[in-house]
Amino acid sequence: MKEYNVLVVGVGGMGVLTTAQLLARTALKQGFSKALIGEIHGMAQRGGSVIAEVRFGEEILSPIIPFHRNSLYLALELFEALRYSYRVLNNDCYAVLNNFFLKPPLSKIEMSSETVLKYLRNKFERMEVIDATKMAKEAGSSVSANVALVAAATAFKFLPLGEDSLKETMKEMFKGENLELNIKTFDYTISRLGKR
Amino acid sequence: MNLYERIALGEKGEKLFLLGNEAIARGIIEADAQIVTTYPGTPSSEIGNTLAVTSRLYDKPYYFEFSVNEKVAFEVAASAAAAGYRSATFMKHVGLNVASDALMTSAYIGVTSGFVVITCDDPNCWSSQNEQDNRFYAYLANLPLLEPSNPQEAKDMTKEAFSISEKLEVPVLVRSTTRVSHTRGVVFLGGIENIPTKKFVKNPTRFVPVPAVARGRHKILLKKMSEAKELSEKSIFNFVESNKENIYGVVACGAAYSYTLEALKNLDVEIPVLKLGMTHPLPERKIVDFLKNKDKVVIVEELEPILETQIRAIAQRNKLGTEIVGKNEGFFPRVSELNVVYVLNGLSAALNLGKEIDLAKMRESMEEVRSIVPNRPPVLCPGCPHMGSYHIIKRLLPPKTIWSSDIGCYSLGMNEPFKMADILYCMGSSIGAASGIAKTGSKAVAFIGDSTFWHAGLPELVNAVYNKHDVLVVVLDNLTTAMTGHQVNPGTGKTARGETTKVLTPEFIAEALGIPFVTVDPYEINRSIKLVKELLKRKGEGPALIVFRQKCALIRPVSKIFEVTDKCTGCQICINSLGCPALTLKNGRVFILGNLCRGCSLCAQVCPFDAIKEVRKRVKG
Repeated sequence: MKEYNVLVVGVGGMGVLTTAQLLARTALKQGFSKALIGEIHGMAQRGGSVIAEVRFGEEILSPIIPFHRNSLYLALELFEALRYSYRVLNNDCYAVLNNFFLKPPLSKIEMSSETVLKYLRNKFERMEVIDATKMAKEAGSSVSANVALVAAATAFKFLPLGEDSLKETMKEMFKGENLELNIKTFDYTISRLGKR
Repeated sequence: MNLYERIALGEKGEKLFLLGNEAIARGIIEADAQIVTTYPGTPSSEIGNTLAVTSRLYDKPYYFEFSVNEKVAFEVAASAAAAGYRSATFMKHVGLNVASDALMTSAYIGVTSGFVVITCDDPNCWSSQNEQDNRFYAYLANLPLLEPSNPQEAKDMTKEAFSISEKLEVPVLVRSTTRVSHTRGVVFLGGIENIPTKKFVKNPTRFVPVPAVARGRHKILLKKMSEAKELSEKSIFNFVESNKENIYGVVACGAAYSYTLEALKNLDVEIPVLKLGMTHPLPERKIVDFLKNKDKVVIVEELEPILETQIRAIAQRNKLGTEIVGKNEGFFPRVSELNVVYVLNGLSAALNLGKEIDLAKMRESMEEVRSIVPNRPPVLCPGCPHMGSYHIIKRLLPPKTIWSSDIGCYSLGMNEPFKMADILYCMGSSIGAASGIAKTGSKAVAFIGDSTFWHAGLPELVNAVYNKHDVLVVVLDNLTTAMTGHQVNPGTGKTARGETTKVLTPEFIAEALGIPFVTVDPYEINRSIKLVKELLKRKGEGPALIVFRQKCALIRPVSKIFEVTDKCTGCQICINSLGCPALTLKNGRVFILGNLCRGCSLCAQVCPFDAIKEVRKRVKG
């Protein structure tokens, strides 16, 4: 594989940038020679919509994923899943979506997950919708929903990253209770999805 | 070792996964800079956040400060470099506007040790009020300019900039952009230099630019810049990639260079690329060598067509018939930022390759999505004290009041439910703008944060007192510089390096200026309303000041949270008065998201049915 491009979208505070780092650092650990993350900081993080672009492979030249070269679309929230879906121009991209809405404060718009999924269904090679927030909550706390989503992507074999090396990276990135929670969520998600 | 320790102490050859800004910080460390200053601002903030930590770890400590504004930051660093200490200052693009007065003169009087000025531009205004192209400053001040394309170059060019500065005895500019500063990539470390410091040698005929001195220094600057041109001709940062014979060529710089390489790869064409890393002064001979024997050369750069204009002039000066195209011909957008696809399409169109990617479908789908997905603008955080401040002021003043806002999280007061930002220019502008509005007969209120007050609010307040401007100044003091990541400021009692220092307050200033003021807690609605009412009653001619003081919700520990009881009627007064992200609706009633609630109690205070109650324990989300 020459390059792997993961678009991670969500809401400020949900761990979009952390997810991006987890993937890129694991890729480097696994021997991919290049990895880049395109991040957005500042204003965009105050509960706003957030996007991070993770790229790894043998030759990665620039930090923004070309619209026609996406490999995986990871969405931590369904409105955001819909918002950035136009960025995926190619039809051989995989997707894992968290079945979870976070309504913008004061927004009057109501939407069902069916509406979102119907819209996105034909966009991807394969699209999986999982209850990442729910599973993270069951494993300890909903804050680890991002880790559940990554675990799901590996369980579906959408990512060329190993479970063990992802957990190794988590050990570098998190400490104490936080680390314990994330590892627990990761294992729990894998076992839940394995039994499906 | 944690990342900061590695950045501070890592050895030559070590490989780190760094944000562009962290790489710049390492470049400053490798160059052995001794005096480093900044005022935080996205996309430059992480350089300072890194150096504030590493300045305490480094075995050879250097001086680092968060200055009160970019002008002071510039002067502290520039003068230290004039005195013989390697120095650096960095800021976001608009920050250099604030420092530009000193910048222009520092080009004349120069330095005796390396002095590097890093400006982080923000194409697409990701977190800025404009997308100005600061490369123009290099032309305006007549100073050398380096433009990195990725984190590795960001480090290497920062380091190199010090030696260029030292050689020429002038400041050197490094221009980063959001996609360099906020790209994380692998960076190989270089060695840390050991540069001896010097002492300030008095020389008023150089360092005091009265007119007679300035005229001479201008000539000297021009001479230095012709030396700089020779450095640019030889610079390893100006090179040709894949120099196969071709009638076409591309010139690119900065992040646009990365997009160009990838676009050419995607287009599957081998076209020589002249990569320019030192973009002022330009290596004219190198450019002429590249242009001659080519029919057409495409210029790819972020924001303004600066290289394009210069290279067209070079072609004309050297009587070359090469066609130069880029933004002027509309092949690339002049607004927002570039990316691989925009560059690919521009190159394909400019060179008649017929390989453009059709974006019509994507634009259609983008429009469609935008019409159905609710906007999610950045919002004030759950429990943000600014919600209380805005709510209180809104209840006390007539709706036709003109709200003059300022730079900070509270600019978000422009959104629902407050809609309390009507005009805004730049850091500190709230008081000046409110003064002007007041002169036109409207009631005007200035909202200004604590860090912004110290940054540029002071002279504006003095002007309002002196010229008797009838404005109400509301200081939203959350005891930190929140928007850019909670840096210290003069109100926090701590310096960047963690030392204790005097705590300064806007109240000191109000007292000294003899203006009426009151201090209130935005978490206490009724008490604040009473005290502010009293202030408004005794307010005479000229300004009055209200300080809303409460720690930013993101750094305030949470001891309690709130829950909605059965008394809730679903009237949504809480949601509509505060817009707190922790408040949602569930089955016709308000519901508080336990993992978001910060226990500020504002919603409980505005609830007319007493339906929101405190609970002691933290609820796991």
